[in-house]
Amino acid sequence: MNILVRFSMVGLIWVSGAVALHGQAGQRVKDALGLSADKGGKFKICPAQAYDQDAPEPALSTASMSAGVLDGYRLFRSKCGQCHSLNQSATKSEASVHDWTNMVFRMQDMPSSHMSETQSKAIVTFVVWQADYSNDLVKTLMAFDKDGDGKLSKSEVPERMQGMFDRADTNRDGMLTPEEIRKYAEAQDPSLAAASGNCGPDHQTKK
Amino acid sequence: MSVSFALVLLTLTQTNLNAMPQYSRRYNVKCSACHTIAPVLNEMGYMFKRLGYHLPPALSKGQKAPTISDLVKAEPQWNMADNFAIAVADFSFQLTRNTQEGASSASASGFQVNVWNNYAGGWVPNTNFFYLAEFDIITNGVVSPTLTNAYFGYAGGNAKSNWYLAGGREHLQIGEGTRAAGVYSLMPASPLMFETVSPTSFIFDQSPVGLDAGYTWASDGYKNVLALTGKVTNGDNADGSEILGLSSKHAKDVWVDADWWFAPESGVTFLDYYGAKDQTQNSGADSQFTYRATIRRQGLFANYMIANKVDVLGGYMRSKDDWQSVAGTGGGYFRANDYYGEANYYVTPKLALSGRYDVLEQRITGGPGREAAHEWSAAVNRTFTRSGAIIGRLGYSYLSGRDPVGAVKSTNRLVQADVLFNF
Repeated sequence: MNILVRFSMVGLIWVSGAVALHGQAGQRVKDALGLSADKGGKFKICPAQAYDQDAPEPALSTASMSAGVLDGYRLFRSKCGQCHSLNQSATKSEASVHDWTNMVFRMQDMPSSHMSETQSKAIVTFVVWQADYSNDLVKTLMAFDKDGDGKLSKSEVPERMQGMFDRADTNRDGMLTPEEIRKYAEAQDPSLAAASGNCGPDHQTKK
Repeated sequence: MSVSFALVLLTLTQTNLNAMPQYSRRYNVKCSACHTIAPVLNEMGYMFKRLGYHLPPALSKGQKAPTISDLVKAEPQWNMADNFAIAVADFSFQLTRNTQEGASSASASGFQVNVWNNYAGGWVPNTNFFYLAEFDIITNGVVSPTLTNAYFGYAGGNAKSNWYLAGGREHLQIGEGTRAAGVYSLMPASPLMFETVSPTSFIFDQSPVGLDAGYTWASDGYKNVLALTGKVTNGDNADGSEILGLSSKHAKDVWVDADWWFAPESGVTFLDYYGAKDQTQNSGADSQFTYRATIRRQGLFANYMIANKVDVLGGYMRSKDDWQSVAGTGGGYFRANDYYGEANYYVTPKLALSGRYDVLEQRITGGPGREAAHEWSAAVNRTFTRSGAIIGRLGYSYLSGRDPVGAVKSTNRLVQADVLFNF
């Protein structure tokens, strides 16, 4: 029995270390994926997004969704959610409607997608809605204001957004106010971001 | 012989197969990208292996399918952490109660580290070569470091029509077969069909060394996938010691299976196995003798997924082994027919309820006639993390039957609760 207990402890310590390793994986993948999404124009594959599958997902209020968006949201959770966190769409707010249509319909043609064309269209409706939702940086970022002081400290912002934090913190006081976030959002050029968000060949219209 | 049968009942254990989480890290997807609930593979996971450990791309109508070389070029940069899994572990509590005619019943309980496996798997950078190595440190609660699998392979063709050739040490059934034929199961304890229950001690999922070749064809959107696999193997150390317990040499086996997946997540598998070896009987006794035995298995398995919620599975396997208990008395056989039915209800993608029934009919030359063993099993599987890397399982099974040699009745009740970590 002592041997069993001893191995249990060793196992727990081992697993604890492995959990920590898993938590760092998202950033490591981000670092590792400095690769082009376009391979000679013949075949493109979506690079993995820099998020961790166990990271908290953004809070979405279904009350603010229309019936069509809500339908798409439920489908996203049941279909796309098989492989992807909700962060997948939240972190691709720069993608255009065209990009989203390409991506979702490509997913439909993957094994185990279980998606019909009608369902894919509904999912596109949701992710486009969420992309707009996520573009409202003030609302999205202020959701991380854990102490409720109306400002964001760097420690309150998820790691994946800290690069943006530095760029938005124009007065370098280590805090972001809603006004600073708003100015940062206005300074962005969405057309450049949309161009870089294209992933995969154009979707062929299905008959 | 009745004693050995009872021991088999006592040692029903988890088949030593698990999810390999390095792939989830590499592509930053949830475990459920390739599993319904780990370790049960879905079609994506099946295709991942068939393509030489590359994620299957979208196969859209009218578009050229990428070649395996294209997939290699599109892979993320190779790094150690995304090719190794160092803590695939199962912490288990088991409570068992066994009875046997003519003996007093016995109960046992205990907590143990049931499994601790390590994996290395993936592709050789910038090539079509792939590899898999599995090093098990703890198996069934026993510290027993073993290199269970170690093989290299090469994949060619494109995502729609591809082939592979692999060689090395490989469990016969790893990654083969549609879901009903796979040894992967939602049951914490391994199903009766894939256990060692015959008097000839044949182990269905064995680990010899050999060659493995396969061809896979997929239609647009993977609506249909057809796959053929053939394996030719020699016994470990070429002496057959892992083919049958008392074997000494000249063990050979051939395995063929044909799989058909049809969307969504349904499939049919036919498999055929032929083995031959020198079987030593009555080892150590004056009556010891050796004869050349052949071992045959044919199986047909199918599952149908309803509304991506309810998976109905079933299968049949026929066994026929040469059998001699006395030297010079040729013409004896061990025969068995094994049937099972199972239903898995995925309440949510993270929660599944399962029920299963197995029946195994056996008879052997010189024995009392046809004897049967029945097993009822139920299980709950629940993932505890968004990624699906930690899974809790609770299972119960009741097995009863008579052995085909002495017709001694035995029963086994097993309650098993475990937590499976995939890191």
